[in-house]
Amino acid sequence: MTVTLESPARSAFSIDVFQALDPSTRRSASANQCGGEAVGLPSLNGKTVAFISNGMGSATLLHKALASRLRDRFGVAETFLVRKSSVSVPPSPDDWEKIKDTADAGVTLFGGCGSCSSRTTRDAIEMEWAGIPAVAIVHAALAGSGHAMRRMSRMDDYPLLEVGYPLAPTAVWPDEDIEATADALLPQIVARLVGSRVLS
Amino acid sequence: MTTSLKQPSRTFNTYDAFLDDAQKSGWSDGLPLVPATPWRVAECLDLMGLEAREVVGAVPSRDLEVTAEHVAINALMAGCRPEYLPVVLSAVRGHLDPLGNSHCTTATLTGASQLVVVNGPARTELGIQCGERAFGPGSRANATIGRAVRLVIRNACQNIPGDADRAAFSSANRYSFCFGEDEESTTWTPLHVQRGFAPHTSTTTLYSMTDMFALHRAAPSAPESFLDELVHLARCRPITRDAFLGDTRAVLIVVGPEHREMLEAAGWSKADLQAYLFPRLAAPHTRVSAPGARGESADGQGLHALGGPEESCFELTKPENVLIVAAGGAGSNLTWILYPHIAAAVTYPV
Repeated sequence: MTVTLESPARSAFSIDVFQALDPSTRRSASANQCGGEAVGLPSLNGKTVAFISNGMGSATLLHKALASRLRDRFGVAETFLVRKSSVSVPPSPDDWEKIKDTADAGVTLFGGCGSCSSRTTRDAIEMEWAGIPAVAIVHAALAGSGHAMRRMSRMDDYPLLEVGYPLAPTAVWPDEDIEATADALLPQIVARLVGSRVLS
Repeated sequence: MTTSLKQPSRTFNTYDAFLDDAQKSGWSDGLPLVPATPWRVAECLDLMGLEAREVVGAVPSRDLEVTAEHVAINALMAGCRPEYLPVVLSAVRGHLDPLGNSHCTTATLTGASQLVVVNGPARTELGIQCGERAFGPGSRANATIGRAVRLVIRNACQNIPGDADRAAFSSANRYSFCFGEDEESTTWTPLHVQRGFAPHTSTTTLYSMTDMFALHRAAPSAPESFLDELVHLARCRPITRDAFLGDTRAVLIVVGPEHREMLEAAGWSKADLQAYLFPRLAAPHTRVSAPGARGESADGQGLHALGGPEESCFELTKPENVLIVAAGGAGSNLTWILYPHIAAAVTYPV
């Protein structure tokens, strides 16, 4: 059966001119906080590096592997771990005060899920705003979440360090994979914390 | 209009033009929207006695604040009648409560949805469905209140799919999920009264959830055997402790009319159910993981082997966190377990 419309269907929806309000929020608040990226350190020798971990997947083990390498190979004097109380929340106020008081640089990890990858990105950005050079480690599958957060934070070009497949975003990885991942990430982490902070 | 609106507006000649623009601007969940005209938004704010700029809540991780005007606009766009606005506002306050954990429950891979359970007189005043089809379509109030909360999350909380919203599969419950407790067809104490509100106070309980399972059991022989089956089904899916949520971690169980009748006839109150279910849900289990399996410890202090007597399936801290709600229609012999995402169940007055 063929139905022929006598007039365009859309004309049935024609109504008088009207106004509709925008339902969305606009970016504004972070403009007051945003200080851009912190200045890179001359070197990591003798410095203190804070790790902010959400406990996701292999975060705790990857922290240990990276911390030992930073101490052994780059002369970092001290590292400490801030373990957040949930995967996608900020550090507690006390932990945040400790970070601001004692850390020269920071590493946030691990962006292995939707909300924790964006919060991991945000943790690094907030360290930057506090004048502490930092780097966020996220899984490539969730990089888009980090990109959303850096846009919301007005840090659109803020680099993220990515870990990819075959490592699963939310799983605990085999020991040998953690060690290999730490070795692969280390040069990028150092490049983002010292000097001009440019990734090669 | 007695309040000064802050949001920008756009002018349209046709409804189609509005729909096209709304879709292009990312305002829509995919379904058609109702234009929120300045006059109607002002009317809603007047009805609620709120100024447009009044802050309802915030998402600190995203540097944004949600105002009464945002709530009114999104509720009207969802198709709400103005009188629904106080219920929407209450639910949005619950979601934006710190323990509602907005950033976590909306950006998550799991596609967690935000359920609104309504208690008190607002249910009957607004026609919120509590019995038959409580979980699904058919009621304007249920459909648009739940949708309004989701549009606030999308537009005001900037949770755009593919951007901040990283849901891997997402969920149909993310279009809308709202129902009322069927207080009139049970002798049980309503959820909001158990949570400290007066019976005549209307409330919303905002509960971010991942998924739901049904126990279908016709004519159970005794409450204990029925509840033991419920525990067995529930414990197939773990609920882990979360330090941020502390002792607010909760699970929601919706009991249908046949099972309520059986339990009530045997003299079981909600408190009795909670007392029976809690120790059985939270009891350590004996599952043994594959050799070498490991995970983060519940206290966040390190790694441990999975399995063993220290591991609980439902890491709840008190019986009151087994939330029991009466709802649903007759004939199906169903009770539902709704699994929480990483948030508390947050109850606010309307």
